[in-house]
Amino acid sequence: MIPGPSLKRHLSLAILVVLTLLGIAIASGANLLFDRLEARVSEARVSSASERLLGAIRQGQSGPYLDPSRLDPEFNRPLSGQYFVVTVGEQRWRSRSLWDSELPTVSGKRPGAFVRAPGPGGQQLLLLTRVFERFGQRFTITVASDYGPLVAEFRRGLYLFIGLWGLALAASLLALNLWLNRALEPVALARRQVAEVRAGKRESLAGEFPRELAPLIEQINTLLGETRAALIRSRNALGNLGHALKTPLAVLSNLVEREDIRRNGELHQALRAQLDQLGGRINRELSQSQGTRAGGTLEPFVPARDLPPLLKALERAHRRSLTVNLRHTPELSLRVERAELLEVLGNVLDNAWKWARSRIDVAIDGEGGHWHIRIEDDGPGIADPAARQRALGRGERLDESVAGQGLGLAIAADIIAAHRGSLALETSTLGGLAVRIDLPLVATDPD
Amino acid sequence: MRLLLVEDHIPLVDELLPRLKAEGYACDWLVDGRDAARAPSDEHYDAAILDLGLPGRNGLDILRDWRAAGLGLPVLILTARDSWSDRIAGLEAGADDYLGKPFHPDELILRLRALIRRSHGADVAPELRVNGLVLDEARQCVAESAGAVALTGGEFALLRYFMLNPGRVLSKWQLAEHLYSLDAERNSNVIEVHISHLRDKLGRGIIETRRGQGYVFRGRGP
Repeated sequence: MIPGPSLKRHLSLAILVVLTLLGIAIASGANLLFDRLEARVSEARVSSASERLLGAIRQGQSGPYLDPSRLDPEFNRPLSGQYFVVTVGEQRWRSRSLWDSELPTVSGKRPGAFVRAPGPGGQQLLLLTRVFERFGQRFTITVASDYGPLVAEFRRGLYLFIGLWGLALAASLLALNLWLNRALEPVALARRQVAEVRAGKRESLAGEFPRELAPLIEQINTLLGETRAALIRSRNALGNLGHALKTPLAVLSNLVEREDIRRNGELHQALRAQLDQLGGRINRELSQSQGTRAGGTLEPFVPARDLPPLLKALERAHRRSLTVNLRHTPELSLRVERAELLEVLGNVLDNAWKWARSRIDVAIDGEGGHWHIRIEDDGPGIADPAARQRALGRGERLDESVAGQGLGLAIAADIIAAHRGSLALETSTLGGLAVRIDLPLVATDPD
Repeated sequence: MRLLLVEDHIPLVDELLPRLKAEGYACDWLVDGRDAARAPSDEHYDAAILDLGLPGRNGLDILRDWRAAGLGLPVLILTARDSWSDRIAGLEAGADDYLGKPFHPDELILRLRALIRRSHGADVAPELRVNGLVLDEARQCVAESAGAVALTGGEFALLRYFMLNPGRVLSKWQLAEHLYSLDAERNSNVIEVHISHLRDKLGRGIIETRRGQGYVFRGRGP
């Protein structure tokens, strides 16, 4: 399955876009508000400064003069940001703060309008030129105020805001991730449980799932139940059919051995061959279905527990004992259905028992994601590769004289193949046949 | 040898009973699992052939009950359920042997023979050899150095029972119990006639008479 778009990335992107747009909107709004506020404050300041300046103009003996005591001290501090120029007749009074610079000349503007222009030392000035009539004379008063510091102050504030906003954004994304992880925890739990169902460790999903997930879990459980029921039904149907056929087949098998039929050798042999084929076919299909786990919990194959009774059964069946060397770790447990692996090992060992002179070696170990099972005997083995292929094929009997259906190895190979494993015939160092089985370990977690 | 056959498929029983009889086994036959659960405690059987899928009671449960009751008779399970896990379950329930259906009738006879011999502590060899006497069970004759001595079915069954219980005093009642099925007509004279024929064919000392007690198999031994 190709993974679709990430939920996390999706939500993170949404939050990022929303918060960024919101931040930009707030910053723009604040900027707009500040511009208006700054204009009003600066204009009021300049306006009142020009009025106060007018108030500081006195009439003396030699004409009008500026009363220094009534002047704002800021006008005296060099480059303080507060400046004035007063023109009356031919006289021109400048504030001391202007020092050796000049106010920018504003042309084309009618008196009484606010003008912004760059001032000395990179200052940003708001200028107001007004004309007053006093003491019978015309005074042109230009007052300038540096609004730069105010703007700079606001900028600092704005930058701080953007920085904090960015931090808040990062924190939100982090929080979102943590929340999502927690919110998706039940999904991870469900995934683990499904893997456990697959591995046969549990039958259905259980636990507390959030309201949004509960219907899905319920659906999965229903599906599991239905699949299991269907599997059990068809397995039972096949099993019942197979077993029901075997008893009449046993009757036929006995009938065929009656004297009157035995006397007709050709007929007897033909019937016998067909009956054997029928029996073999049923056995092969049954062994496929018997072991199939129809959901439910898996009963693992534990060599230390399950091999000794199997060997005892084989010894009984063949009425002869052999030296069987088992090699596996004592606590070994294979997560393969016990009945199925018993069927595989039973069939392979049954074959080995038929042919072995005195000894069979069985080794089981797990490595590199596979179970390796090796069963060797010291019998004659199968040298011909074609014969080996036939032994794993369909209803093949290598030696008619040996009891049994001659398809044990094929049955074992069928079951192993159903588990995506492999069964190969090789030559044993003991001289006989070595059956090598590789079974993939059942992954309990899809990761 | 007296056998208990528990099998519910009548056509199979129809085939098995004559074959078993021909092999010198007296057979009692039961169909229902509930009857089988009670049967061996009152009768003296030498072996039982038990099907698993029985009406009334499952064969494995019956076997477990028998074993729990201390019944030691050898049991051969004859069933269609013959996967290896089924076989192991059968042996663990107390079966002595297990044969899957369909089976070759000769295979059943061979296994039965081996089963009974083992339960009497005899070797599992092609012939039964006891005290210098060699009985060929397949051909139902005694192998002598001069040649084979043919036996009738009754003589064969009787001699086999003697040879599996050498040195034991067997009453006529015991012999009848183990050689004839429930439905057979029991006539103690038949046993005397068979013993007399065996003595004629194999020598007088082969079976010793203990007055008031019964008979003891001596064979050719000291």
